[in-house]
Amino acid sequence: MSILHIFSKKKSGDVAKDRLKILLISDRINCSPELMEQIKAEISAVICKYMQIDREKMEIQVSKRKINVFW
Amino acid sequence: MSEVIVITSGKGGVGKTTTSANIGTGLALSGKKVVLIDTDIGLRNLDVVMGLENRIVYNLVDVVEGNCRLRQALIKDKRYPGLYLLPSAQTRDKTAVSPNQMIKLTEQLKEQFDYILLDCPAGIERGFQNAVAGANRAIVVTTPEVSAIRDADRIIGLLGTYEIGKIELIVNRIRADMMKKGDMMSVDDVVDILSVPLLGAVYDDESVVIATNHGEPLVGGDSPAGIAFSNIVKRIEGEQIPLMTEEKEHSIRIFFSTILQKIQEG
Repeated sequence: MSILHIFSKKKSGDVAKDRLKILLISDRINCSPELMEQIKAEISAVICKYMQIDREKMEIQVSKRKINVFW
Repeated sequence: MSEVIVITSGKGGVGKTTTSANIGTGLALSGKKVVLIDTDIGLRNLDVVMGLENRIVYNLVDVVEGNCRLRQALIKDKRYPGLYLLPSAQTRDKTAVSPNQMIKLTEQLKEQFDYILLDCPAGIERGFQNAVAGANRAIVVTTPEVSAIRDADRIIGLLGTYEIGKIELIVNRIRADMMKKGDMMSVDDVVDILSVPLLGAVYDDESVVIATNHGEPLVGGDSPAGIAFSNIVKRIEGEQIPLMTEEKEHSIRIFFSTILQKIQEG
């Protein structure tokens, strides 16, 4: 355990929960995190091609039933 | 109508065998006729957890291969009327039995027993496929750790491809002190992540190790884990027992033992 962990405000239980949520999305759709990042990058590229959106502020969430795009 | 319940987890060492032994004993204590099947061929353990290791003559593979009759291989637990164990083979491997043979076996056992409990091996290969084949209900055991939850999620996904009507969750080895500090995922967190109905939560309790040392069950006793298993058994039978009863009982116990300790320390 590093000093960073001791001083971070986030409880380790919450860290575990957040990590699992992301991990299980890729597990459930049988898709690696790298591939997921690639999909997200391509979706944002397509959106930016047709709409004027700051790519830095765009967030794409992939879950089992839907893909959400926020900006 | 008899039920065939598989107790599974994906990951090893989360408490499948202890859970199987205690649920089986608990159901027998409530007057049901129960058979526990150890499907972990090559790594049998349910016999030793139940304290029946010296009584094995024939095993699951002997039954399937026709080396003996089914009733010859069933070990009757003399302490609990109605409780039987079909032990696994120690010197064979998972391929010694096929899923079809397991379906046949469970069908045969349904004629005599109210509950057929299958203690599933770790993993998702042949052993899992054998254990799940004849089941109509599943209990997934996990602990509040990332590795166990990830494997449980995979198992829940796989169970969905079988004809299993009911999938329920047991969160094992929870610790009130760590949860209070936020250093352990809460039972609600685990249920939220896995989206499977909760059958019960069992405290990480040293009495589990002690009971296993003796080859005795916890169910029927007053340890936190024993109470939790008794409640789980009642829920399996359809009784409505509030889910956090064991936590309350446990926190009261901790409260009084701390006071007692303070008094003793003067």
